[in-house]
Amino acid sequence: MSSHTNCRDAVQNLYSLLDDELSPELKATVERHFEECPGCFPLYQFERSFCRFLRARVAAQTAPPELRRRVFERLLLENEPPDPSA
Amino acid sequence: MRDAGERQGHCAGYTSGRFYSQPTTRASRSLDFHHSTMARNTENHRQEFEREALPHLDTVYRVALRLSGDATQAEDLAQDTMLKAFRAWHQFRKGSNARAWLLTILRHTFINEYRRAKNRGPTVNVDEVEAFTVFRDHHDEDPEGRFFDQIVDDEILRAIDSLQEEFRETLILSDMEGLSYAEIADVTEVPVGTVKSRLFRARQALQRVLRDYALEMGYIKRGGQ
Repeated sequence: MSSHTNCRDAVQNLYSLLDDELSPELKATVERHFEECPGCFPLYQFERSFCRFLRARVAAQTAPPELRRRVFERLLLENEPPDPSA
Repeated sequence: MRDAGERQGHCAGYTSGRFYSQPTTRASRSLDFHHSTMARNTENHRQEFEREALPHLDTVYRVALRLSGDATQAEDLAQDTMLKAFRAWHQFRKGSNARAWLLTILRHTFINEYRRAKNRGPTVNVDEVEAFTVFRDHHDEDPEGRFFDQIVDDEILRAIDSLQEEFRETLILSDMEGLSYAEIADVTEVPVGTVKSRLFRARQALQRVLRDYALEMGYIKRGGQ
């Protein structure tokens, strides 16, 4: 893609941009388009907020302590050397 | 571990529910050495697993919970995954991505042993959602989507759970766990292009569910008015 891009190409690359999946050159080109194009900027701004919101709100849950304890205990059982008489 | 019997030239074993001891022979000393080496290997194996794999238990649990939709089942699924991973640890390529490897085991375990047990409720049809139109009417009213802050976490998770499985799993691997497209493609065994397409449709469908909820709750107005 050239150093300029059109609206359609930019929108097609929007999520790849927000997911940091573009090459540095393409990222700079697409980002510049969104920053400078009055027609595309609102979509960029909104989708960027949406992705940040989603990531911030769904990743906080941790495994219950009881599960962590159970897994540790089971691993210790697995850790027993094989039965010599087997 | 060596016990008093071994130090006295006997090796101890456990058979038929009773301990026995027998005089040490060259063969039994060799067997003894073999078992102590195995115990050391098992201990190294366990320490390595605890260092490399166990830190990903939160990830395994979160994904298990969203795949199964049930907290009890998610705990069982997460535990089964970690045990299978421990038993297969020798197959893990050192230096490669332990998290993606665990998620692959989780996914196979879910598909083969858990999925059929769960009858999930109605799901959102992602094909009905037109690209980037869901909140178009609200861009002027709320350009940065501040109303999202009013939506409680449980409602967001419910919205994610309403997605069809292949879209839900792609979205959680990306937005919940931060996997790259290539990693998601590895875990879900589809091309990167399919990952991108599923993620796009999943996010758009999720926006529609959240919009409907926000409208119902009065966080935004219909038509952006």
